[in-house]
Amino acid sequence: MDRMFALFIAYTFIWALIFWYTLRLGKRQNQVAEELEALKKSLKGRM
Amino acid sequence: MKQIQGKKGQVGALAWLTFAAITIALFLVFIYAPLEATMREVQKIFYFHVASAWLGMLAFFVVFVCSILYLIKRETKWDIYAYTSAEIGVIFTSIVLVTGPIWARPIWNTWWTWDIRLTTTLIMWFLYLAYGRIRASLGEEGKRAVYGAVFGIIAFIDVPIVFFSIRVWQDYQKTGLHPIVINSQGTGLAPDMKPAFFFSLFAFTILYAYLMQRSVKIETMKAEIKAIKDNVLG
Repeated sequence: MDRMFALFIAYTFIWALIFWYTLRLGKRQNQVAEELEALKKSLKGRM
Repeated sequence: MKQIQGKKGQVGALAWLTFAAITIALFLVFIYAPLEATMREVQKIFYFHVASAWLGMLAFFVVFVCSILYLIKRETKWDIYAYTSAEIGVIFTSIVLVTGPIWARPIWNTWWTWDIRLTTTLIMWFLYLAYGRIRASLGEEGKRAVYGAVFGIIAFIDVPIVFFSIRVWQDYQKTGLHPIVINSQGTGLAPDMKPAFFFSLFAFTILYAYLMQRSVKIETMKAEIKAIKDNVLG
């Protein structure tokens, strides 16, 4: 394997995985925040 | 349960610090650090490969400590810290296990060898994958936390083995392909490579803190949702 190509592939993988994980955390956070907000609103509605 | 809300300003500041640290690390790796004489460009994988290994072991150490604290105090927050840290540790150990062979192929002329460092790292990765599976398979919250904590303590046995075994093995067997980065004589790195190496370790430590903060915030909100639902349903 060409050394520059190996360097490129390695760093592409590193950043792809870090970005994927960070985006996944962001998506999860938005979903949970929305659920919490909806729950709090429905509790307020009951009172 | 005590409501813990991460303040937006705090998360933002850590995110910016992480971005700055990683940017500086990339500059040091690709611009400042010289090319290694034999391996040339491909040696630059080293900086983030080792930094990922450091982050993985740090994460698993946090799992170990938080698992012990959970078993002693039985507070949910220690369980949250443990399993969020384990997830991050598995991600970065995956980086180690992929970038290592990519680096190895042009240098050792093989993708993989059952060298003691590689083998024990692979075992470590499987152990923490199993940690996640064990937790996911247990429905009852209390059991999940306790079994997870026990496994998190036992699994940590492999972490010092990963670090030290290569030193013991190469002392006695005088064989082994994987280099020892830090030994009693230092790092063996050229002086101009050391800033990139040590700053990469620092940048990844900040990255770990940022990812932990985000993950813990999510899990804390989930726990708050559960607490509200439990109160409403009685």
